[in-house]
Amino acid sequence: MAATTLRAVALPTLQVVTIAEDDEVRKTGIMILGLLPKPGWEKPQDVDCTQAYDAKGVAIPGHSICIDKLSQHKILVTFNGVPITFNVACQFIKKEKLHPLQKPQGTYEQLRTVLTDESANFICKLRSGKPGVGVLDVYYVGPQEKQFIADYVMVVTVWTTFGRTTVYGAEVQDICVLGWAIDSNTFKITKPDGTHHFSWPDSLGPFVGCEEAALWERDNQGLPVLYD
Amino acid sequence: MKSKYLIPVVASVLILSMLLSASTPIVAAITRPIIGPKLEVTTIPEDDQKREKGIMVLGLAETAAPQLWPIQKGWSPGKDLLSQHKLLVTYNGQLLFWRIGDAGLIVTCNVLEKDKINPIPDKFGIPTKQFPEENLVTKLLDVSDKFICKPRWKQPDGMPGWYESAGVLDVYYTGPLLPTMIADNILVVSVVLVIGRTIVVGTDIQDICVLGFSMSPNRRVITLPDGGETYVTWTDPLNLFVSCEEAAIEQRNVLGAPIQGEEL
Repeated sequence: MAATTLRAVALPTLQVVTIAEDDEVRKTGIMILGLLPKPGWEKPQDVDCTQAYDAKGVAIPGHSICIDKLSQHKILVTFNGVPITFNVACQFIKKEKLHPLQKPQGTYEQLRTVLTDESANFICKLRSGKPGVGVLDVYYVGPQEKQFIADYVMVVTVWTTFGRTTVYGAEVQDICVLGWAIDSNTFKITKPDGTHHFSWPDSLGPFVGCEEAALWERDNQGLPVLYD
Repeated sequence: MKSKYLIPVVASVLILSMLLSASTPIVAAITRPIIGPKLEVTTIPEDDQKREKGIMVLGLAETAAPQLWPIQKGWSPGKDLLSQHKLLVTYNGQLLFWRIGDAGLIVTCNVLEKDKINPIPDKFGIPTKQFPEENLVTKLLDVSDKFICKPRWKQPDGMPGWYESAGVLDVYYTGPLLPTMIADNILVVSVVLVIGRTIVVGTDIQDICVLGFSMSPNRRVITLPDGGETYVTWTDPLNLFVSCEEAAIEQRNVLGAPIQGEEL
């Protein structure tokens, strides 16, 4: 959507509410890239999440079989209180921590957050139930590499058109992309097409924040805090 | 224009404008890009305040669960088909009052069951998924006919015979007690108020988790005053799970309702 000239008027807007379903305690979506923790990981992990192999039977270095690249969010869109059909687009912004070596703004600035647009690595699909009500299935389609372990900002933009006027609404959500689930209770379900779905009761384990969990996992993978 | 035509023409215009104004308000709210009046609806689920969701338990623990379910995830017999939500409705920031017996606020609920399906290749063996990662798809089913929601409004002090727009929404499950009904559900609460010829609407979204069995090891059975019925309560029916979705998928799988394959 192109930026428009701003005018100081109150225009009608759509109200958007989303609810993350993967972790209802921490209110965040969760994805698991299927990486193997390196020796020294002292938090929970499942020993059944073993080495992954490609179609030719060759081991894929650093990758496990336990993957979950789907995150789900309930969505309600209303206009003047009435649920209404809508279009949707999603943006995904990766949050990483950087240690400013060259130009810190002060001694207090030990870490700063760097934002990167990673929207190309995600697809969000609306599964509509009734007008204004549905589920956003969000898929990670990018590389399964350690650089993508991070806490992400998901921005959901919705719009609908009345004649020649388009009315917009937006909401922010969380998606946590982990290398592996920090949980030893993996449940493997075989799907009708023969592939597997992996489920965990609590993928973030003892962590109350994705940000910290991502830092720990990245550090384990030999990817410490960035610097400029 | 001759004066003898003027009065009928003006009358026609006036009648038309009256007719249009009678039908405009509700239509205008959803078909014209104008800022219209609306109700603010706030709901707070009470069953699980940590995960912020309603929870119902179908009582299917006596079937296959104890044998197949991992002990550490917990299981417990008993059922609870009531989910409760606090409810507040305001209009322009103020609570509303109406006489008991008048229409007042009309509350309706829609419930959508979220199921997971696995897109399988069609009869020619051609994949139906839109991209490789789309190996699970959410499918929504309208199951509103299996739930009844009842608002319980507050009666304000010193105003006998009146209701105030704060209270509780009791949601009951009245459908079959089957593993296929285990799911994470979307509850959509719509509230309608008629002011003159204008219909003012407000909507909120909530969660209801329907489990086959509680996974909490701590259960308490309370005998109800009629002496015959009991009410079962648990400290934490989802126990280890931080998500209803994952718990529902696992319970369905154990109770014989696994993920189905479908062509997209």
